[in-house]
Amino acid sequence: METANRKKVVATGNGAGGRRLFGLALTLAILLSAVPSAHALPSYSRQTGQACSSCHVGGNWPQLTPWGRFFKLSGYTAGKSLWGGKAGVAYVPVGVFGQVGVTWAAQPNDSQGNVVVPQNGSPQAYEFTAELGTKLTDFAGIFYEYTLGNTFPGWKGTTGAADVRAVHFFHPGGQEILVGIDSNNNPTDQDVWNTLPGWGYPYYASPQSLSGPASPVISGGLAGQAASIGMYALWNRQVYAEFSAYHVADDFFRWMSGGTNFANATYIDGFDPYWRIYWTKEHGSHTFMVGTVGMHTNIFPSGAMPSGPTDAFTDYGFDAQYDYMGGRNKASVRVRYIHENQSWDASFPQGASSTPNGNIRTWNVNGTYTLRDRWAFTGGYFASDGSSNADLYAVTDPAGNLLSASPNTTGYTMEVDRNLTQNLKLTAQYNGFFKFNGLTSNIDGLGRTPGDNNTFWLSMFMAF
Amino acid sequence: MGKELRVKTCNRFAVSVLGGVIALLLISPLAFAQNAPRIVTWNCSGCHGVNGNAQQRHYPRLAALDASYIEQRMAAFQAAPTPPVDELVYRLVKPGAFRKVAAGSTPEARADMVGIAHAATPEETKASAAWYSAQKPGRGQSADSGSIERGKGLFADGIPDKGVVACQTCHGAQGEGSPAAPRLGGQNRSYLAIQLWHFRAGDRTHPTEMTSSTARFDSEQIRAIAAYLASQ
Repeated sequence: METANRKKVVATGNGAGGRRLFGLALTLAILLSAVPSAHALPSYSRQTGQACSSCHVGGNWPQLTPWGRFFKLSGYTAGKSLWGGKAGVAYVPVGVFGQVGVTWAAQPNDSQGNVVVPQNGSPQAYEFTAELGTKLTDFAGIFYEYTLGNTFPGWKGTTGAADVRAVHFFHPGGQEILVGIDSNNNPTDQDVWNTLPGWGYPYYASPQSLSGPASPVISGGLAGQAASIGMYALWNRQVYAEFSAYHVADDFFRWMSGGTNFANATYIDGFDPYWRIYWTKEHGSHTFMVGTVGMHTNIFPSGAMPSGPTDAFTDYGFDAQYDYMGGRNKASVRVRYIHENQSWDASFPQGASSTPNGNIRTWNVNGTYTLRDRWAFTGGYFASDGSSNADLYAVTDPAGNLLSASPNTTGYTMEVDRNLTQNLKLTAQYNGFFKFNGLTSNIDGLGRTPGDNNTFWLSMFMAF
Repeated sequence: MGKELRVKTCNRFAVSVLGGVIALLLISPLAFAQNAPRIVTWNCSGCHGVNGNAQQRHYPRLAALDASYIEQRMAAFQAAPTPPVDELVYRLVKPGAFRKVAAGSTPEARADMVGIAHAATPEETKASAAWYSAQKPGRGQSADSGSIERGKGLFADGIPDKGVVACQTCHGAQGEGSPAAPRLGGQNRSYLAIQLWHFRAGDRTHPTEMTSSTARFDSEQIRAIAAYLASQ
């Protein structure tokens, strides 16, 4: 799962996990959630014999090229058969990753010397990941990661992205319909566009960096905690429709939620629906997409007691992407809007939410220019706003006076990536804030400004 | 919902999915039998299109190309060493082996085609070549008229004072191809230009006539020829 989204799992104000964490110091709660990232899979390269840049724009994963999108939609099935080799297994269907980096914050401590950004300026190892990514049969494939991640302090093993799908093509009346069945462990991870939260920008972020206090459930709030069964269809490679149902990832789905303690997890009730529709068109080297996505979830206030009333969340969003795939230079622009309606049907009566209803809206706009499949330059703007909720988003001064109960946060990200080889990527990323927690100054009651939360991150990513 | 009930519901769902997969398997051979070879749909069409008219300009259009030419190109890809996934390891530990890979084909072919061609059987190669050869070529692509005119002149006449023979000598008056050379009319402009640059640089060395001819073209002339041919 991309780091940013995993961070939001604990940063979100949704459900019991979010509320509990918001009883803690705001930013530290966000900081200490070192989490796995999602990656390009070297094993797919072994399977297809292709370079990373065939499926990922300029080799700068996880951005997908048109071919990369098709490879995923067609069940990761292109290339060799795993069992087709004369000596048995035709290729090694696994790979490994590692990521190290160093983060500098504009102000790593608050005005009283308390640490806000830990290990500031100190090189850190973030994760070691093993992946299994392969065609299983001529019509099915799998994408599976297991990560040992730095939790500052300590290390923890968790399942990363997991996606398994089976696909076939049908041709009624000269048309083409690709039909697939999919199971995954994070809503929107199954999507092939880089607009939705699962694979949206920022693709990676320092586990030490900060993000706003709230985001919709669909933006990573169920990552590694829910699992789906779904079906999708792609008509003439232009119109895509999907319907999936998510269930808490225990029992049958436990292999998708390794490391998750459900007592502390966002625990959904029953099967919750997810839907996705988009239209896309290739015209020469230009690709356009517009789409919509949505999900409804019922979440128990406490994962330790998954029974009784639930809080309800309905998310819906709209997204669009434009790609220009020139020979060696490429460009993409991506836009996403998500609106979430919240009904605190369980938490409000229990006094865990100060309002019976609420909402969150998020906007993301970003673009990437890829130069000669080696350099990638990305800039993005993000914003979230929503209804105030003193139980979820409260910021108080040392005297206990409420400064803000708003989740509103805006900021930007700028990034330069350099692929030294297929196996080695360097990233420099600057993450800045205009507004944090509804405030443009004194965001902690101690004089801290949003800009004090800005971070600069250097990272090296290795994949073999 | 109680835990026991959840497990039962979950298991029912799993059985339903399994049933769905089996149903898909049972009916799929009928669907495949009526259409493009499996390798075309699953492996080739993502870049080249089912009908061989690749949308993205840096991929070649395969529609109406001579089947033997497609097979010849596939054979060249299959003869090239498979690009290593672990590029860094090869560069550090076995630089000689990496140079061998890098010397075998153009960068684009190494990235996109060599590996996938290795996965194709001889039967699949033949079937895909026959399919694409039988497809109808797409419409030509627009470009500025000046480039097209310059390209047309170069294609028709070559550059006599530099000893460059006319392209049409082998590729046909309209770029329709001949037994000796592939169809170029309607080919994607970026793909053509990139290939001509590779011929000029010696990255793509076959056939030798192309290397010697393109050595005397400048980049503007290459772009003009590509614009003209793409417009056909």
